[in-house]
Amino acid sequence: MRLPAQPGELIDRSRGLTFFFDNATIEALEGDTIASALFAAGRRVFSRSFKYHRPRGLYCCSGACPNCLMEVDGVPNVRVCVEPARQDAVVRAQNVLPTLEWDLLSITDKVGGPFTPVGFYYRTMIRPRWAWPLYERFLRNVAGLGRVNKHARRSRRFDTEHRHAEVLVIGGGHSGIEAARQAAAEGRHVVLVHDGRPPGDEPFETIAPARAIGIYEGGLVPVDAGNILYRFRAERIVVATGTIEQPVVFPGNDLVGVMLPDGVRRLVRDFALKPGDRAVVVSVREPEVVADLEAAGVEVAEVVDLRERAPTRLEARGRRGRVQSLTVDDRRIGCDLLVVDGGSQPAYSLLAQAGARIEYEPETGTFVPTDLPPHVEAVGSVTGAGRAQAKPLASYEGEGKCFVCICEDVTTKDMKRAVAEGFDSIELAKRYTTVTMGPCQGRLCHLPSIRFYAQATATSEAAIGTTTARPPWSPVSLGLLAGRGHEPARRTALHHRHKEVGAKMMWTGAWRRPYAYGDPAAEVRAVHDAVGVIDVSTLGKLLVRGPDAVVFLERLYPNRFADLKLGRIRYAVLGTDAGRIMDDGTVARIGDDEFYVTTTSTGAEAVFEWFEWWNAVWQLDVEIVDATGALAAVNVAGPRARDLLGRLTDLDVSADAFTYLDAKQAPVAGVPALLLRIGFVGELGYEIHVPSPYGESLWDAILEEGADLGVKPFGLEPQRILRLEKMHVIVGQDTDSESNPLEAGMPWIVKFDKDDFVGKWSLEQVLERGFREQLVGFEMENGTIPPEGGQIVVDGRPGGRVTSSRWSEEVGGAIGLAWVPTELAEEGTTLQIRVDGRLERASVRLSPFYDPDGSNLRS
Amino acid sequence: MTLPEFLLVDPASPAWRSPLRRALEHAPEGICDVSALVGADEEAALGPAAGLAGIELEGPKVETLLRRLTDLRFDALPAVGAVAHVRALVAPAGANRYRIWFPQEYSDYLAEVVLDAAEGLE
Repeated sequence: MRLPAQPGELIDRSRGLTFFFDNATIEALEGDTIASALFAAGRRVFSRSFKYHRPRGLYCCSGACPNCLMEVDGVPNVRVCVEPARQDAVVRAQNVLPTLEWDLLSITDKVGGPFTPVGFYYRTMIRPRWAWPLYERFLRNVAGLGRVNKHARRSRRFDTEHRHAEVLVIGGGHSGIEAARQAAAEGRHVVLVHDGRPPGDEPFETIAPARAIGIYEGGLVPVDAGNILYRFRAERIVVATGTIEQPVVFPGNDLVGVMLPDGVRRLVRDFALKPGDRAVVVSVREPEVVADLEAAGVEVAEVVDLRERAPTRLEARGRRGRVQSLTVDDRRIGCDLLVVDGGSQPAYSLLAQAGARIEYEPETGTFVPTDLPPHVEAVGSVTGAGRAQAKPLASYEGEGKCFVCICEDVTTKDMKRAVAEGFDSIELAKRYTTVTMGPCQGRLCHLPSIRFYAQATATSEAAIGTTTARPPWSPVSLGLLAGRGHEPARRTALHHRHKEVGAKMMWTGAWRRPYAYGDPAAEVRAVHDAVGVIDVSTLGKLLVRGPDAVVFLERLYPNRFADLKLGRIRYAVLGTDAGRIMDDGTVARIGDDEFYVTTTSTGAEAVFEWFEWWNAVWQLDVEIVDATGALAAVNVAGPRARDLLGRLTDLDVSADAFTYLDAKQAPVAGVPALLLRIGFVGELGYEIHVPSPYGESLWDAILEEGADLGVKPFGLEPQRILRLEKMHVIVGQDTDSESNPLEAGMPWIVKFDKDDFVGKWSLEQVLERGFREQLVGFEMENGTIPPEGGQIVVDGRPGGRVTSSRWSEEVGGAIGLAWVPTELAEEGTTLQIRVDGRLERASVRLSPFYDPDGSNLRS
Repeated sequence: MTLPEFLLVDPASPAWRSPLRRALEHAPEGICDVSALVGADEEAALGPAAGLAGIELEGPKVETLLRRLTDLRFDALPAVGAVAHVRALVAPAGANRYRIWFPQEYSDYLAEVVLDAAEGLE
């Protein structure tokens, strides 16, 4: 079946291999592509078209067109014309029912034409409305490309690799290799990306086969090398992508046996295959392919040279999808191979993505790149230089289907209709007809579609221009773009201790935290009755220090800190310029010019950046250290917390020596610690902050020493119940981007007598306009727990919203926090809350449900 | 200004636990935990030493491995940048040997990513 040995052929005739194609075993030679082996085995139909299921055969043989897409070893949409044949590979045809040669769905080609114009499914298949899912399912089955094997998850591994180079050359043709050699000779670090076989020994690194899929901002060039995506950054990018042979648009131009010259050349020269018996060549330039055909023993019946004259009629006809003749004007020439050459179009897409301007060149009827951005160079034929060719007609007359886009099965008729419907701008028409949006990414249809629009709208190609070039320039698998799925998770130093005792973990921002260790209600009880311990290492922790530390904090917060005594703590609410609540936490003075600031867990990074920002603006003498991850922290809370702490430290922890809102530094369980006596959960409690690497040993000591006191670890859920009983607000849960501290029930935070602070003016405006809504507590009358986010109904209309709600055993009822209109923010007012469509009654509470006078907290 | 005592660590203390010890327990040869060796350079670049962990990578393919985790340039190391999205300090530590210093709370995550990338090199 093969021709005698060709000079430079890629096959090794001494080494054979076999692979499977559908139900057959195919013999191949080392060096074959899957397509060349199939062709050698006599196969001519390689795929069925997207919409009409027309048989399609080898066309470009260079990885541009959609005609040879197959499933290889479970991977769909592989271009088998450039995919090396591998021993035992399993190759399957796709989008066929049941086989390539005999596809029932090709009925759409016979009857579908008039009924299936572009976008028909959105217009004709929408009634009745309920049936759309059925239509959609049907359409998905009959149209399109390969199928993704959903069970093959993780069957392939994709990696991403970052690379740097001084010079990145894209394209390994003559010009590309020459440019790479030259740069290498200049001593530059050069990498060449080539989408074919690697060239021989060269003085530079080559990545092949691989495709640059785009040039992004900042000169980022992702390179698809199969299982690895290289992210290249190069000082200089040399684009040597060459040209793309263009088709000619005439009826029957998609028949099996119609090929581009390069496809023919590759079959003959690389694989020693005879592409047909009797050929007709249609060309707009010097038909060099004739020599190849003759060398392969193909009879060249006729050469239709479009430079000499434009026939009025050009139409290919065939039988069962295979070309049998070409009619030129009135003459019918029999052939089984029709080589069409519509000229060459510079493959400028990457240059255009990089910022080059694309200009129409009337002499060749093509578009060429100009005005290249700095650091980007074009070499070789991609520049458009050195081409002599005529321009074919936009389309030739005839009767059969005349394809402008073989990827998406768009015919000239579809395009005419689109223009008639008003889609006369190329960008709109592209989106409507989907021309250029298929697997070839416009390689073979962009230019013909622009020509056709120019003709249909009686304007010029120059006036129509090109569509925006966007990545990916070559189809790329989503798995490759996704890479390894690196999703950073932050885990506290105590994470494994939680897991060991079976804590149920949850995400809070990037952190993993225990939701609860068992029954949340039992954990609440332990805190109220004995002592509980919770991991609060996720709290943001900032050290603010320097001579201007006080001034800095005074300006940032609405609170006052100038009068905060050494070793004392103050609850603080951070506001934005608009006076809205941004974050909350505690500020402890641990030195004359040194403050320890805690923030919410999720707000830590934003607060740190906020601090840094204002520090830069004000240029104060302040240093800010983010110690969030450096410190592990636990909150030991409950009536027995003091007994427990006393066992762990030599510090005097008596009620008089270590009072509520005191901050002290002392070793705890043998490690240096900062102790903060605060009470988020409403009981006597101490936050113990220690270096993270000591966290586990502190945790172990607490559980060990507190065993007889009934110490129990508790999670986030019990903490949420406990703080709700105290009406302690969670920023972001009970407040949103509109909430201010005045209406959120914390007016005592805001010191209007201070000189200035971030958001002061805005808060003064709130005072002036009066309160509109307020954050209040509520208790349900019948114990139903309303949904968080539930509606407060006032006079039959939405008037507020529930932000938190839980069942509290301590209270013996359903409690919560809600924003309500100010006039309802009175102790005992009845609220109506919508629960499952019904209105339930609740009464407003302004003081905490639990320990309202704070005596437990201060005990 | 020196940091307050509650931010200082001594890896020799019996209370000290490396955040990486579990994650790298079964690590292949060439990947090891150097958290205990944290020093002034890392602290200056990334924050308090108490918050840092360090992984050392060694082997003939170590640069390929690193390139799959970070876009830092090798000719500009040591440098701070993203390693698998985590802000880290990458420092050379001899022939075919590098150390990655990063916030300790990412220990399990980063160890997992490093081990996975190493597996991809096989």
